[in-house]
Parts: sequence; structure tokens; C-alpha cells
Amino acid sequence: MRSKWKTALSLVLVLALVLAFAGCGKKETADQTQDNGKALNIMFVNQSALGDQSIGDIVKDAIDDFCAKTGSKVNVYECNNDASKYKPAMMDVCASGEYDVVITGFYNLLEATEEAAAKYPDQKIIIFDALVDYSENKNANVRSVLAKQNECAFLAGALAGLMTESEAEWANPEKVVGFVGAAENTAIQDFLVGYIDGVNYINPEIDVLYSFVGNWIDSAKAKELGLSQYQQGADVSFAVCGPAGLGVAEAARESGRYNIGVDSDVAAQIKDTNPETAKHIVTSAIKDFYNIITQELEAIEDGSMKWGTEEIYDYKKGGLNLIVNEFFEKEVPEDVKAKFNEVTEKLKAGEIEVSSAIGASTAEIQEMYKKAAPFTN
Amino acid sequence: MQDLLRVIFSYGFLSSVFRMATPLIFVALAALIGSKADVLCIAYEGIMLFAAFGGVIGSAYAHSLTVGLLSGFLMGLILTAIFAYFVLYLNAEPMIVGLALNIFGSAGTVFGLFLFTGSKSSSSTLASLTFPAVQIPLIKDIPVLGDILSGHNLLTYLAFVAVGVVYFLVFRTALGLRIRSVGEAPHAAESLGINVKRTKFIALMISGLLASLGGMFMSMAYLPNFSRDMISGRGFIGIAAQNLGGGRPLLTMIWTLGFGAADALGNTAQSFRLPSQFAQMTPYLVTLIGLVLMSVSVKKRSQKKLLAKGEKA
Repeated sequence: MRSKWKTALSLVLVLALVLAFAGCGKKETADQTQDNGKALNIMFVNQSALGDQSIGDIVKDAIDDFCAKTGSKVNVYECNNDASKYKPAMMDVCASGEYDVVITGFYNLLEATEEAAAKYPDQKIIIFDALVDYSENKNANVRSVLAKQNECAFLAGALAGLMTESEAEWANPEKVVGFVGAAENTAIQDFLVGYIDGVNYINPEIDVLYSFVGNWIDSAKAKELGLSQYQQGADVSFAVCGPAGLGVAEAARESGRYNIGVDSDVAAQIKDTNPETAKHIVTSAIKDFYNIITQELEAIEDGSMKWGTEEIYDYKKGGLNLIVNEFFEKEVPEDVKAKFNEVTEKLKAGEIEVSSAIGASTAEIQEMYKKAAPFTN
Repeated sequence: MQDLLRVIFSYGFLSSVFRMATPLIFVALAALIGSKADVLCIAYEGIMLFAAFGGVIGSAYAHSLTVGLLSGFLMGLILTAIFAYFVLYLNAEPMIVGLALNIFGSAGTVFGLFLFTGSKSSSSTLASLTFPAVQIPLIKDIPVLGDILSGHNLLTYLAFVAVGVVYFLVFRTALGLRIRSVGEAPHAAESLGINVKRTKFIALMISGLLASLGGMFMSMAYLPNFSRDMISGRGFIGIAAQNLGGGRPLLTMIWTLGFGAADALGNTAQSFRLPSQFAQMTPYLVTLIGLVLMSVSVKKRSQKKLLAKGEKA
């Protein structure tokens, strides 16, 4: 009797599987009626998942707004930060040949993108926040767009340096600031060297403490690292570790110090539910990929896009900014604001050269790190 | 180097050790009860995530810490019950069920998070409640001792109390005796009329309660919100501590404090220019060293036993 039930059950399961696969096979009939000839069929291969309040969400917003304006369509593939999915995802979407342009991003997908681009040379790809190899005419179908995160971090560093020397409410006499990074990849290193430059631009005597969480999710670890830095005299810590950064903001609240967020306006995100913590997030450093992706898509639309090239959006071109919100207005003293504005003007005018970890060797990066502390060398 | 030592011998460092050890103590005690009943449960990671998530949702919607606590327990116990049912009554391989539930815990909480908040990374848009820090009257005014002992989170104190409770439960109560007997000799226990499966089930549920507290500490004390995969391997470190403690509650607690200290040391050392990779490696290094120490001591003890019996080692 029992085995009969089992047979029945397995049959039902098999049937369910078959149906599920059949469902998968049925492609949404993509609307091919490109009436104005300009509407694009866009594929966005997102490294993480949508709705995680990271750069992926900002890019999706830009694509959505573009689609609403032009009648283009977008599909999204979420890799959920699973490294084993990056390559198959890129290969699959490029092999399908359905899409006018595939948008993807971050250094983690660099290899997958280069391989897919080499195998499907007709597929147009935009990769953001990472730079593909253009030597020997490689990747002629890929456009790399970057925001100068080092300039973004430079501004954060300059503000941190000014704050630690100021008489701001929660600043302490020690000339120490902090930096909590996610993992030591190129992008985060670029943030760090820019931050160190920013702090040193204000005063090379200021000590920069830096630590890494090891991932983007362990907010408890991030909090611990933040607490440790505040305990060692830092009064501002710049958290460049995605969602885990909320841990550093918590540490700032507990220690009565300042935090600078990253990627999106972190204070705005939590000000309704956790106003006490939001007060301590003095600003957030943003790479403005909304602006960048919008410009790129418009370039495709009007036919001015140059494939096989890179564009690095700096501060002048609107690739980045520091959020000025009510918390910034309230917590940053007037004299600091004035000095900070001088720095932003100079950066905009191109008078400041900020170090970059992109393309630098490990030894060179270590040299840049050494500038973090005036005492140890 | 002097600066580093100054930081290590500060109150801040000690409280950081307690903070980091708290979830580990809970889950190590959970693993201890599981191992006494001879059930290999590796699902604590998922159970903790579920409890952490349940606590946040419950407290945010009911505006009550009690409801939060209860819903955290409920979520943790649901996952534990699934584990127990599959392993005890369906005879599934515990390792596989544990793995599956950990994956389910990670993905299921993200799914739930998306349903409730529309975000897949954190519950920062929910006004959830946290367990309070406790200032112990009298003790907090004693100069050095007060700084060390007072001002921790309620759950941190509860973790240390739980060590005693678990010791009492396992070694001093009838239930504890039954749990140990079904763990050590299930057939003998059965012959005495003990319902082996039910006893193991009860043991697992107690262990689920403890792990749930560890999970809730993460999202309702350590941090004021739930974020995806926030347990980050702490469940496994707890299991390691239990193994190193050899099933003894006090020794297990000491090992969790050791892990907490190693972590805190790694975090502090990073600011002193120690490579971050080294700091991230410390808990695993401690596990390895601990395993070596333990196997050496076990070997010595068995040699002594053999010698006592008059046999050659």
C-alpha cells in the first residue's frame, strides 16, 4: 500500500517538474514591434539581487526611467552574489542574441564579461564600475563606464579630515579618522587610497585607521571594527562595505561619533525608523550611476555611442557626489562647510590629482597605504 | 605594539569579547545539548537566521519586545522541528537536512524580508525593538569590576546564566539523564522504557530555543535590524566551540570566549596595519590550534588509562 502511495507521489512530482520546465521554456514573447526604431531590448545582469539598496538598484532605476521614456524593455538576471552564476549568466544572455544591449557591472563580473564579449563579438555590452582590457583591439563590443570612486572617497576623506580637526559636536581632540572596507578588492582599495589622499590634503598629520570586514554582509563584524576604530580615537569612520555599513553607523551612534555612508543616502534610508542612528551619518558618498547609465543609454539611442571605449566619469562630469542632507547641514560646522566647498571647487576645476588603485601594482598600493599614518613610517 | 597592548587591556576590548562571544555561547550550548542526544545538527545557522528575522518582524509589528521574543522563538523552533522531524522520524541524513535548512534559512529570510519590507538586504525600514543593556545596581559603582561586569546587554547576561542552566539540566535532572542515555546507548535506554525519539526531539527543541536566543541577539541587541545572512558562520563557530569543549558546558563557554577574544584581537590588530586577511583567519586558526590541543590531551588521557590497566600504550 505504502509503495503505491510513493509511486503516486513520485509521479505527481515528476509531472510537476515537467510542467515547471515547460513553463520555463515558454519565453515571454518579447515585444518586437520597435515602432520608432529606437526602443531597445535591454538585459541587466545584476551581480547581487534587486532591492538590496546597492548600486545595482540605482542602475535599475536609471534603466527603468529610460524605458519609460523610450518604450524600451528590460529583463533582469539576478546572480545573488553567487560567483558560479556570473559566467553562465553572461554566456546565456549573450548567446540568446535577443538583446540590443547587455548591461552588467563590477569587477567581479569582469572576467565573465570579457569571455562573453570574445565569444559573441556582435553582442553590445556595457559594464559599469569595471574596466575591461582594450589592448590589441580586444573587447571592441564592450563599453566600460566608471565613476571615479577615488575622487568620491577623496571628498569623504577631506570632510573627515576637516571634521576631526573641527569643534563639531561629536568630534574629539585626537587627529584620527577611520575607514571600514568590505573586502580588499580593487574598487575598495581605490576608495581607500582616495580617502587617504583626501585626509592628507587637509592635514598629513591625521592618522587613518583602516580595517576590512571580509564581506559585504556581516554587519555585526562591521560594527565591531567601527567600535574598535572609535575607541582608538577616530571621530569619523567611512564605511565602504555595502549593507554591512549599517553596522558602522550603529557603532557611531553607540560611541557618539560620526559615520560616512556609501552607495546611497544611508541616513535617508533609516531616518524614519532609526532617527538616533541617522543623526550620526553625516553624509554618504555616492557614485552617481543613475546619471552615468542614463547618459550611456541616451548615447545608444541617438547613435553616438562608441563601443570598445571606456569613459571615466569624474566629479566634473557628474560621476559622483557627497550627499548634502539635513544631517549634513546640522552636524557640519559652518567653517568646515566653507573649507569643504573650497575643496570641492578645486576638485571640480581639476586642480587636484587623486591617487588611484586601478591599474596599480600591489607594491604601489602598499606604498599608497603607507601615507595613512604619519607615525609608522 | 604598546598601543596595541593598551587597547587589548582596556574595558572596551573586554566588553567587545563578551559581545562577540554571546551568540557563540548560545549556539554552542545548543550544539552541546544536541550532541548529548547524539544528533548531529548543523542547521543552527539557519535556525539563528530564522529566529533573528522572526524577532525583528514580531517586535516591529506588535511594538512589543515580548511578542518579538516569542515570534523569534517560534520561527527558530519551526526550523528546528522540521530538522527533528526529518532526522528522527523520516531517518534522513542529518548532515543533508542541516545543509538544506541552512540554505533555506538564508534564502527564506531574504524572501520574507522582501515580502515585509521590499528590501533584500536589511530590515532598516522597520522600527523593530532591541533588548536593553542592563546596569547592575551596586556592582556598577565598583571602580574596575563595575566597568567590566555592568552595562552589557540583557542577552549577554542570559548567555552566561544559560551555561549554568544547561549544566544543571544535562547533569542534574531526570530529563538530562534521559537525554544523555538516549545519546550514549539508545538501545539500553529503549529497553528501560524511554521513548528515544521523543527524548531526542525534546533535546533538539531545547537546543533550538538556545540557538534562537543567539539569533535574536544578532538582530535585536548587537544590531537593531535584520540584514541578510547576518549570522555569517557564527553557528558553525559555535559548533566548533562545543566540540572543543568536549561536551562540558563550562569548557565550551571558555572556548567561545576564546573565539570572541581571537575575533576582537583580529579586529583591533587590523587598525595596527596587520593584514586584514590574517585577522579574518583568526577564528579558524584558533579552531585548528584548539583541535590539536584537544587531540593531544585526549591521547594523553587514553594513554594514562591504558597504563593504569597495566597495558603498554
